[in-house]
Amino acid sequence: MSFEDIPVDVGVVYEGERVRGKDMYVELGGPKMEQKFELALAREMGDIEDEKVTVIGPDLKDMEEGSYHPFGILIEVAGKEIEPDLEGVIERRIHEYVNFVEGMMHLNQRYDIWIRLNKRSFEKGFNTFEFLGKVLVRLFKSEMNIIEKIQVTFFTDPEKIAERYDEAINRYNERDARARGLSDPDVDTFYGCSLCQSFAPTHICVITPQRYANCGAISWFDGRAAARVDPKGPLYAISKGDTIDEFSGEYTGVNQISAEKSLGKVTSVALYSAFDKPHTSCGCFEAIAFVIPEVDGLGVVHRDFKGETVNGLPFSSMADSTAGGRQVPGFHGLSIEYMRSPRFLQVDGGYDRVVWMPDSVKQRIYEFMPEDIRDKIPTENDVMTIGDLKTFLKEKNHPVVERWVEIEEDETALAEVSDTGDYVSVPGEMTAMVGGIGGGLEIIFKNAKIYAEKVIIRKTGKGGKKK
Amino acid sequence: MKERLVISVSGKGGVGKTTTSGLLSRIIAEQTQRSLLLVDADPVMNLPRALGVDVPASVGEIASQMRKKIDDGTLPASAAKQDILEGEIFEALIEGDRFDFLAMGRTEGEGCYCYVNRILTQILDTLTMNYEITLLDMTAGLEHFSRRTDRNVDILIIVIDSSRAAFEAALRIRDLAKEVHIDFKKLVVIGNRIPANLVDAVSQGLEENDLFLAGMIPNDDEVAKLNYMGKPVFDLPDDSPAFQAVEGIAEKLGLLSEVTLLKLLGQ
Repeated sequence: MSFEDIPVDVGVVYEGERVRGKDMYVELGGPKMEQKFELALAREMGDIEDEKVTVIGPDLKDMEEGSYHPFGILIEVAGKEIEPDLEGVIERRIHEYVNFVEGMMHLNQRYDIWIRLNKRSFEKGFNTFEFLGKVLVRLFKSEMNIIEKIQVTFFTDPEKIAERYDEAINRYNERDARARGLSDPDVDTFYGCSLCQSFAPTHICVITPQRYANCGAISWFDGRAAARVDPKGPLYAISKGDTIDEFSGEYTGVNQISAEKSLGKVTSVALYSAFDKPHTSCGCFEAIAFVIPEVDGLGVVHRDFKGETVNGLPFSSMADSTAGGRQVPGFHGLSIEYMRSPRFLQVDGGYDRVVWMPDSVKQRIYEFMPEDIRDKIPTENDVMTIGDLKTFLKEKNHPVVERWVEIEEDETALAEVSDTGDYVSVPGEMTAMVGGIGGGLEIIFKNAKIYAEKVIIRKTGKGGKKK
Repeated sequence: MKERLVISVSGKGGVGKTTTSGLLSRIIAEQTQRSLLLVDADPVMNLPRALGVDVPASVGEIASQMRKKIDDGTLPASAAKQDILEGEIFEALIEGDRFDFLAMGRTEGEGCYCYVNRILTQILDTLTMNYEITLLDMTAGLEHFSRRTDRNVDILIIVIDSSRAAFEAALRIRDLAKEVHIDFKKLVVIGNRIPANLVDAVSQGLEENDLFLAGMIPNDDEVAKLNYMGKPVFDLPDDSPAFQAVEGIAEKLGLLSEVTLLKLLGQ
C-alpha cells in the first residue's frame, strides 16, 4: 500500500499523537460544535461508486487558520459479506485510521467526534479532504478484505450535516438496541480479564455479552476494544469453543482458559450459576449473591451497603468468604449490570431464587426484574431477620417457597442416607464457642448436616491469618 | 516518539510544593521554547490558583462520573469506555499559550476503579508523550503517582522546610520511590523558607543522608502577599528573592541551557 501521493506520512507511529491547541490549524467537530457525526453504512454493490471521495461544504484550504467547523464523515461500504451488523466495527476503524495520519488527531466516536489537523501538516500540503478520503479508502480496503467497494463523503456544510444528523442518531440507537439484545450464543468470542490477578491469582473474569465483568466496569464491547489495541494485555479474546451446555453457560474455550490461567485450579465453569461450578470471584466484585440456607434462596448485597444484611452479616464479612479466585458454591461475586441480564443466575432459578437485596440495588435494577416477582423480593425496609424473611416470602408466595416442599422431601431421603454414617444430622440447634479468638463469636448450626474428613481448629499465631 | 522529560515535585504538606512548582513552571514556560504540560496530582488542587487557571473538570471527577454512569447503566451499550474517557480527558485539558494544564483531583464514591484507573494510566501516558516537558505537582506519598502512570520520573524534586517532619518525609519519599521502582535520573532537595540560622544545619543533614541540595528559596514577603490575595505566581516581579532563587535552581538543574536540556531530553 502506498501513500506516496499523500503529502504527509501515514502510519501506526502517529496513533498517540495529540494536536495541541497551540499547534492546531483547524478543529473539526469537537466540544465547540453542536452537530457532528461519523457513520458507516452497509449498502448494495450497485449503490456505490468505488473509491469516490466527496466533500460537501468548504474544504480544508477554504478554512481559516485556527477556526472551528462542524463535521460529518460518511463511509459507505458494500461486499458479499457486508451486513448492517458490521457497521459499528467498520465505523470504529475511522478513529484508528484518521489517527494514522501525521498531524491529525481523532478522538471520540459517533456524534461526539473531535478532529484536529496541525499547522505543520497543512503547510506540508495536506490541504484537502481528498487526501484523507484516499487514506481511508486504502486502509479500509487493505485491512478489511470483506469490503469490496467503498465511498467516502465529508460534510462541512452545517445545513447538510443537520439533514444527516437525525439519521445518524437513529442508526446509533438502533445499534445500541441490537447490542443490548446481543446474546451469548450469538458471538463466538468472549473476553477474559486478568486485571485482578494480583489479588486473586487463580481468577479470571469471563466477559460475555450477557455477563458483565464482576467489577461492573467492563462490558463485552470494552473487552473487544481493549483486546484489539493490546491483545497480549490483561484483557484478551477467549475463543468460545464448543458449547457443552448453553443453559448453564459451559463452553470448552472458557474451561480451557480457566484451567490455563488458574494453573489447573479451576477446570470447569458454568457462567450462570452461583452453586454449580460457579464463576470465580476476584476481590473487586460489586455485589455478592449469598446463599440463605434456611429459605434455600439467594440474598444479594452490594459493596456500598453498610451494616448487616438479613443473615446478620455485613458485605465485608461475606466478601472474605467469596473473594480470592475460588469456586465457592453459594458465595458468588457479581456485578449489578449482570443483574440486568436475562441470563442472571438462570441455572439457579434467576430472580425466582432471589429472596433479599438492599433497596438501593433494587431501585437500580427494578425495571429489569421479571414483573411477577419483583415485588415479592424484600429489602432491608421489609425484613431484617431470617424469621421475618420466611414469613414475608410465604405471605407474598415467593416462588422459592415451592422449593421448601422439595427440600423437606430431600431431607427425608438424606435422613435415610445418614444411617450409613456419611452424614451426621444434628437436630435442633448447636452452639459452638471458639476459643482463642477472645470470645464474642458464636457459631450456630441449625439442622446442620456436616460431612468432613478432617476438621482442624487451631490457634492462630500473632499476625497470622485466621483460618 | 521523541524522548521526554518528566519532573516531579513532592514533599510534606505545607512546605511550599505548589509555590515551587508554580515558579518553576513559569520559568520553564518563559525561558525555554519547549511544550510544557503541568499536572496537579495533589487531590487538594492548589496549583490552579497559583497559576491562575480555572479547572472545569478534574480527571478524578471524570472517573467518578464514569463510575456512576457504569453503576446506573446509562452508557451507550456498544461504545467502549476507553474511547469515551480518552475524549473526556482531552476535554479536561486546559490549553494555554505558555503551557497546558491537567488537574488529577480525586475519585469519589466506592466501587472498583481497577479498570477505570488502568484506562486512565494509558490515556495519561499517551498524553504526556506529546509534551517535551511534563511537570507534576505531587502529594507527599508516591503511591498516587505509581498508580497513575507507568512512566519514569527524570528529576524528582523534594521540597522541605526547616521542620523535622519535612526532613523525614524527604527520606521516606526517596525510599518509597526506590520501592515502587520509579527510576529517576536526578533526585534533588529544595529548601524553602529556611531561617538563616538553620541553613548550615539543614545542608549538613542532607549531605549526611546523601541528598543533593539544589538550592534554597528564601522567605519572600511578595510571595506571601500573592498567596494571601490568591494571585498567580506570574504576578511575582522578576527581581523578587524567591523568583531569583528558583531561577538559580532551574539553571542548576540544567533546564535553562539548551545543551544540558537536550541532554536531559535524551537527545
